[in-house]
Amino acid sequence: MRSFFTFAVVAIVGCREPDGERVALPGGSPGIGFDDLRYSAALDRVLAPGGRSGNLYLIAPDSLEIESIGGFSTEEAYDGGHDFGATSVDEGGGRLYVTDRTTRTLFVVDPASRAIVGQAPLAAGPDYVRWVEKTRELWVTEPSGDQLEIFALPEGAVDPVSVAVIPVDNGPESLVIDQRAGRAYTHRWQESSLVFDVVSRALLAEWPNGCAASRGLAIDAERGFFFVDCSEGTVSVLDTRDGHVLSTEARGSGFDVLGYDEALQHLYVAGGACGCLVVFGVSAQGALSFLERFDAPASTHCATADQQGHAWVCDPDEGQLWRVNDDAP
Amino acid sequence: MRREPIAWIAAALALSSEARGHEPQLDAGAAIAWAFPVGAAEEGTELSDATVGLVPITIDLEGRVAPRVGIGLLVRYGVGIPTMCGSAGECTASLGSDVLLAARARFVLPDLGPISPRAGVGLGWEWLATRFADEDARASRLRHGPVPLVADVELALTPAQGWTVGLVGGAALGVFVDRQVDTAYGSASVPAADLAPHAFIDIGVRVGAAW
Repeated sequence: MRSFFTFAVVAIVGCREPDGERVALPGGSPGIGFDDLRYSAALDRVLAPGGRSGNLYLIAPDSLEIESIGGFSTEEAYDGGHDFGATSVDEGGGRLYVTDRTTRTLFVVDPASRAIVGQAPLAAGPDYVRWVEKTRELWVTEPSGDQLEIFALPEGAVDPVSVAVIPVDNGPESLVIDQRAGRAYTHRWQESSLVFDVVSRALLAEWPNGCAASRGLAIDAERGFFFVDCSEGTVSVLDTRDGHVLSTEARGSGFDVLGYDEALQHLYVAGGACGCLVVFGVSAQGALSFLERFDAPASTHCATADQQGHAWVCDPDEGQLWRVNDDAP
Repeated sequence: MRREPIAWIAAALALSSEARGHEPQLDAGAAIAWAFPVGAAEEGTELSDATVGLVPITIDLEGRVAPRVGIGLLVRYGVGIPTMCGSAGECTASLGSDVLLAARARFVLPDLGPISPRAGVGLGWEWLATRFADEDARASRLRHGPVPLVADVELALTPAQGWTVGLVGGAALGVFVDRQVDTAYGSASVPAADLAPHAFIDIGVRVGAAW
C-alpha cells in the first residue's frame, strides 16, 4: 500500500521536502560545501567542518545546541562545490584535527578552549584527516598529489610534523582507521580499496570493492566488516580478514560519505542524485538488508550516525544539516 | 459519468459499420517521444534515481478486426538518459535502455473536426537497463517485469490519403520482478522482494500509414 501511495504522491507532487529535523548553522547561508561529517563519542558532538563559513561546528545530538570554532578560511560566496576551507575533521588524543583546503593546512584544535592551538602545512590539497591512536599520527589523504601524508604528533606537542608520504596511484579517496587492528583503509577512485598497516605503513592488500566509482567507507571493527559505497548507488560489505565480498545491495544513487551506527548495526548512505537517505541493516554474517528510505536534500552527499538513533545528512545548498530519527529495528 | 467513455466507443463501433468497405486493413506507425520516469523500480529505489527519462522510439503494427478496432504489437526501444556522468565519454557510456514489447488493441474514435483521435490499451513485458561509467569502470543494473497496462491516445491529422501525423501521449505501468546488479567483480540476480509500481509517461509524435 505504501508503495502505491508514494507512487501517487510523487506522480502528483513531483518533489518532496527532506525528512527529519532541520539544523540551521550560524553563517550557513548562502550554502556550505560540506564533505566530511563525523561524530565524536568522546565529546558527544556531531562534527561538521563548515567550508566557506570558516567554522567547525560542534552540535549536541539531542539538544541540537551548536558551538562554532572559527579561524579557518572564509568566503562570502558559495560556489556549489566542496573545495573551499575546512572540509574534514577527526577527533583523538583529546584534540580535534581539521584540514583546510584553501590554505592547505592541517590545524590542531583544543576542544576545551575551542581554539586552534597548532598547525602544519600540507604537501598537497587535502581531502580527509584521520587520527591513528596506536602511533599518535595523523594520516591525511591528498588526492591532488596521489598520496597519503603522515604527520607525527607526539604527546604534549601541538604542531604536527610531516614524517612520511605514501604514494597512492589513482587515489586516495576517503579514509578510515581500524584503531584496534592498526589498519588504514582507503580507495582508489575506481573499483578497489587499499589496506595499509599503520605501523609499518606497508600496503597489506588491494581488494575489488564492487564500485565503478568508489566513494565512502566505514568499518565495524568488532565484527570485522569493511563497508564501501559507490557513487552509482552500490553498497558492499567486505570481510576484513581477506576482503571477500559478503553482501552487495543497490538502492539510490549519488552516494559519498557514509555513516555507520555500531550499536544499531545500521548503515546510512545519502545521495543527491536520488535525493535520499537509505538505511541498511547489517546482519551478523555481513548481509545487507534494506530498511528504509528517507527524502534528503538534492545537494546532499554526506551522512553520519551519532550512535544515539539519529542519522545526520548534509544540505550544502542551504548550509544546514538534517537530523533523521532512525526507528528501524 | 463512468459509462461515458464506453458508450462513446460503442457508438463509434456502431457508426463504423457504414464505412466498412472503405476502411484499411493494416495500420503501421513509428513514434518518437520523451518519457518521464515515475514511481519505484523497487522498494528504496525510485525509477528517477538512475534515469531522468527516456527517448523512446516505438514501432507498431496492427490489423483491423473491426472497422474501427485494430489489434497488434508494438515494440518500444528507449534510450535512458543518466542522472550522473562526468564527461561526454562517461555520459555516452552511461546511457541506459528500456525495451517494451506489448500487445495492444487500438480504437479509432469519432473525428473531432480534422483531428482523428485514436486510443490504445494493452499489456506487455519490459526490460530496463541502467548504466554508470566512471573512467573505464562500469556498473549496470538490469530489471525486467510485466507491464499490465499500456495506454495511449493519439490526435492524428491526415495530410495525405493513407497517412497520419499526430501527437501521442501515453503511459506504460509496470512492476519489476527481477533485478541483476553488475559490478566490476561480478553480478548477482535477485528476485524483487517488494513489487513497487512504476510508469514511463510519454508524449511525442507518431507517423502512421494505413492500407
